[in-house]
Amino acid sequence: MTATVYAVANQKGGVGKTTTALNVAAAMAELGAAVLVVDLDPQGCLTFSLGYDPDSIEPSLNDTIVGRTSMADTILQHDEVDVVPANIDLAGAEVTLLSRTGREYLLRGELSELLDSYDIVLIDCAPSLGVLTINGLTAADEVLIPVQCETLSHRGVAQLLDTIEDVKRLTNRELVVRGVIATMFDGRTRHAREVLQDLLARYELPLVGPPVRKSIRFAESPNVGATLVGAGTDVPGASAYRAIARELLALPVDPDLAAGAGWSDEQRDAALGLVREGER
Amino acid sequence: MTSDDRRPGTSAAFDRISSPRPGTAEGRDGLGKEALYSTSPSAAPTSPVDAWCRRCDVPFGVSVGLLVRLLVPPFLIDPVRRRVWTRCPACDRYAWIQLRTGQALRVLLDRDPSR
Repeated sequence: MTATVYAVANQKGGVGKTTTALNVAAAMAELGAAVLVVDLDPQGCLTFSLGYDPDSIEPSLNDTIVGRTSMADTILQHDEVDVVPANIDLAGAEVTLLSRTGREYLLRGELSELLDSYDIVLIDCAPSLGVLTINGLTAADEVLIPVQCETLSHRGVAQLLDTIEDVKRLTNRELVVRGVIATMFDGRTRHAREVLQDLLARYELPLVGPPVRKSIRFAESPNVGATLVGAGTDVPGASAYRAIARELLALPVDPDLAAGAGWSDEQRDAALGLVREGER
Repeated sequence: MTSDDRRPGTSAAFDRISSPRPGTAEGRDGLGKEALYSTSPSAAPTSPVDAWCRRCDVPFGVSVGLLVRLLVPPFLIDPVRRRVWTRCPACDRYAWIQLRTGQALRVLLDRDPSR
């Protein structure tokens, strides 16, 4: 068993990276996969969302970065998934790493010892471009790009794709952009549909799974220390993440699941402005 | 972009957004985003000599210019332990400064085909 490593990345903040990483991880675990999530954000939002207090966790990812402990020793076993936690000390790691040759490869080196123990590793990247994000992209096999369908997020994708070109040229030639995950999607607005259509057409990116509908339940779930998927909350967004997980694991997606996400094939094609083969 | 050469499905409303540049080093500023990568050929060069002051415990890079200044008399050289007794540029006191080959010189030596 060698894990596939996904970086969940977007330099723009607030697009749903952490929510996507957590819920996709939980949905994959639900399907029987051994999943590790790595919190690469000094804000520790992923760590907090799983019910831990980032400020009282020791050791954390920062201890691995500065060489105090191995990554395996930082892993916490949550009910849903295993997690490498982070806290605000990770902000200092950026500075520690800046003077180190080969700083881009540190996470890849640490993860390499764990790949045989998991099926899937999901890295929740920070909402900025720095050494940590470069580490995440260098360690990954594929990139998932969560996008909130608004103009500034569209611009964030352009900037991220530019960074991915740099990473492929300098540190990880094999990196593949798996596709875009449309988050907080409100299909009732023409702007959201236009952004998504333009994004997919302009950069020739695939859309992974159905768009994830906006729901207040996602904002509430960090309070209970469990993901929406893990808690069994019945909202379209949770079904969307289950469909995304199945697609990433190359499992068939039940039409009922897509319908539960609020996106039948017809709705999806209509929202994306696609014309089905038979209708041409 | 005119409507004729527009990719199907794209909208003129988003043409202001810059497209990602192709994956080449051409036109990249070595002191800009490229500086994030320690292995980038265009990244700013690091020092040829790394030094460490035994008195103030501060490591620092030594450029050629700084090396000349360190070797302004009076100074002592201990070739066995590869250290120099001179004025430390960090604490401005006389101390033993430990020297070792820096990244820039190591890269240069690694590229020497005679090695």
